[in-house]
Amino acid sequence: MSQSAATVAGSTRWEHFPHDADVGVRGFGATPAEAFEHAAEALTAVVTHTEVEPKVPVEVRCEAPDLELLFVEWLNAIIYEMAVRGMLFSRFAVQIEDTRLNGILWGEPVDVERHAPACEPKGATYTALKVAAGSNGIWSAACIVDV
Amino acid sequence: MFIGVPKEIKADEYRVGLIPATIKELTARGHQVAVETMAGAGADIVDQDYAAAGAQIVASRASLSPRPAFTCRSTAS
Amino acid sequence: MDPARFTRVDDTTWRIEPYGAMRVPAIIYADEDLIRDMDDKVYEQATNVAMLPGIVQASYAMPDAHWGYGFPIGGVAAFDPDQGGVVSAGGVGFDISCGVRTMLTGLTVADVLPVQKSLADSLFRQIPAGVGSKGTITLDAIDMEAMLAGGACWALEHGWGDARDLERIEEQGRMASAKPECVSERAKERQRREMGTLGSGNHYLEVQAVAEIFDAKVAEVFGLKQDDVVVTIHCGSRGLGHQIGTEFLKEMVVVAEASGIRLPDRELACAPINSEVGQRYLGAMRAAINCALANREILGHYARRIFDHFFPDHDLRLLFDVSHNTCKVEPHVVAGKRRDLFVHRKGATRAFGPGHESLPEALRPVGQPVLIGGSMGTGSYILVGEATGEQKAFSSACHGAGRAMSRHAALKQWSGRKVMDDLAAQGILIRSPSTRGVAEEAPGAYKNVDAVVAAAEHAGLSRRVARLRPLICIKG
Repeated sequence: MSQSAATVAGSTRWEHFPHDADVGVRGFGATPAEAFEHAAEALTAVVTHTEVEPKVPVEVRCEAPDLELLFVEWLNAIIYEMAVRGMLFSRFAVQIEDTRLNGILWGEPVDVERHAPACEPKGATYTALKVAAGSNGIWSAACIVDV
Repeated sequence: MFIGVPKEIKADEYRVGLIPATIKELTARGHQVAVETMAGAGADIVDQDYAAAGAQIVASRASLSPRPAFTCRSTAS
Repeated sequence: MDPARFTRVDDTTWRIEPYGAMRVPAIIYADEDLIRDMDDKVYEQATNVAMLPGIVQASYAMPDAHWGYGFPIGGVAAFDPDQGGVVSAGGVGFDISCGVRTMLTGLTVADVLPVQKSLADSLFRQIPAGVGSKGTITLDAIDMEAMLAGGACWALEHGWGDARDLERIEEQGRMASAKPECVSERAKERQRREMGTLGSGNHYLEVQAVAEIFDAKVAEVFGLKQDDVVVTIHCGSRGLGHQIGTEFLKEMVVVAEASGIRLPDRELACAPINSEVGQRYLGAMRAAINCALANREILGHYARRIFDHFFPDHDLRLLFDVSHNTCKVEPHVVAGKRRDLFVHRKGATRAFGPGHESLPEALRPVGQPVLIGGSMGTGSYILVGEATGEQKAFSSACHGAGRAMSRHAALKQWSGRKVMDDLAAQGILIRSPSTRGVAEEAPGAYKNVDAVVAAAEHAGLSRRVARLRPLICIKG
């Protein structure tokens, strides 16, 4: 099964978009914070298509000069926690204040047999980086992730 | 006591001196066990199994402690 | 890309004459088919790099060039610090010092085939690969500093390797002027338990057979014969390198603008070599090179140990270890003058020709081995550096096939299980914890490496010595 997008109640929450050697992640939402949350789900889906239990919370904090750079910081904060804790995350809560982001990630330790991780995100990049509201008012946050 | 477990170098010798279960007993009794990396390759035991049993994984038999109390070798049948 | 956009110098040399803000021309080495196949971003990125301050001679792209961050992958660019030259985290990449080593086994295909399956299973079980795999080496703070400063030499000191390896590794196994203190705590934390792990994505350990010899004389010097079996490891600086790339990319984006460097593209984030952040990045990047060299030395040690079980009378000997994501200070002659240049190679391999002083004595007469990875099911190549490479692109060559389609598209097209079964039917055993990962790495997802190395040879960058075919492929 190729799962490259997720919709809930008819509206797309996140999607992957193609890029050569790496992967594009894009999240949608009513607010930038919500778009950031859904983009994080797209990030996890790069690694695994299996359900990840949101059992253990991890707090992250980051800041950057603008919203787009903040989005990259957000994804990189998740990538860091995934790497050092050996975890995958499936639920996210984001609070953005100015140039600062407070976030909570919920997930579980990687289970190689159950999750069969396909690849390891190395870092979020500034390639195809865009955080903006569409004409329909829906926010999207996207960038390429190096895997 | 310090015990070293080298990888066997005899041809077709797929047994290894100590298995994880035995190592666990030894470490539980306060002995230090060092196992040469990939010592269990012929017996399908991985370094992680030895490490989980409390052994320290070392690079080569040269890095086993200079003077282990005794070294467990698989004996010829 | 449309070949008409270029000035065609010869069959394998395509120039973009400087226009607009370009300080030097951009030169792409490829045959016409490869040019047509390349995405338009390569043109854009090669010209953007040519705009950076202090760039010397030209902005180069190799026959396997494709879309990267700021710099094209397969990009080579050298900068002069005395001319305001810059160093770019994007010009090195996220996997600092990702590279390849090939080890000779002294075995033939006939020796290996009877135990092929057991060997594949043993390599797969024993070597930590992929997300969630656990290494068995944990570095405390002191070990970490020593590893970052010592590279493969550090690994050797701790028993992870063979002394004869060092002269066969770039920089003799230890990148000088590494500054572990410039590496962040987060980067070190990411690496604490990662030594001796293979990684995932396009990283692999392959057992290969020599399928074809192109240059018998050089093959003999390298120790290669038809049907010889070799072990090749493709891996980089793991989490530490990725974290350093991430952090400095962020810093440089901010600093570049503050330095008054007009970035044609934010991904070209860079800093003057002689700036504080530039020097800090160089110190950290060199430490990451050491991390990659140490890691490949440890993985080589694991391979030795496992082969020991199956073939106790044989020993693995390192042919060479190359890196393809680095920025190195090298002396080059430009316009008759010898200058120390900061040469960025991103997805490009250094390829010194015969006589180069840094080569070990045994290899110096013929030139440096250049190890080119193909895809999982197809072949790889061993090339040798050419003297002509120096003028062409500061002694650089391509690094691999490059992808023909995205992971996304590959996943839609192939089933990992079927790919593995098809390759097994051809005598190639794939071992991976993820069938999805296998699908994403399917042979069809990659370009034809034969065409890439042929173009590299025609362009005078490096010359084919041997083609290898895979027998076993371990991927994370």
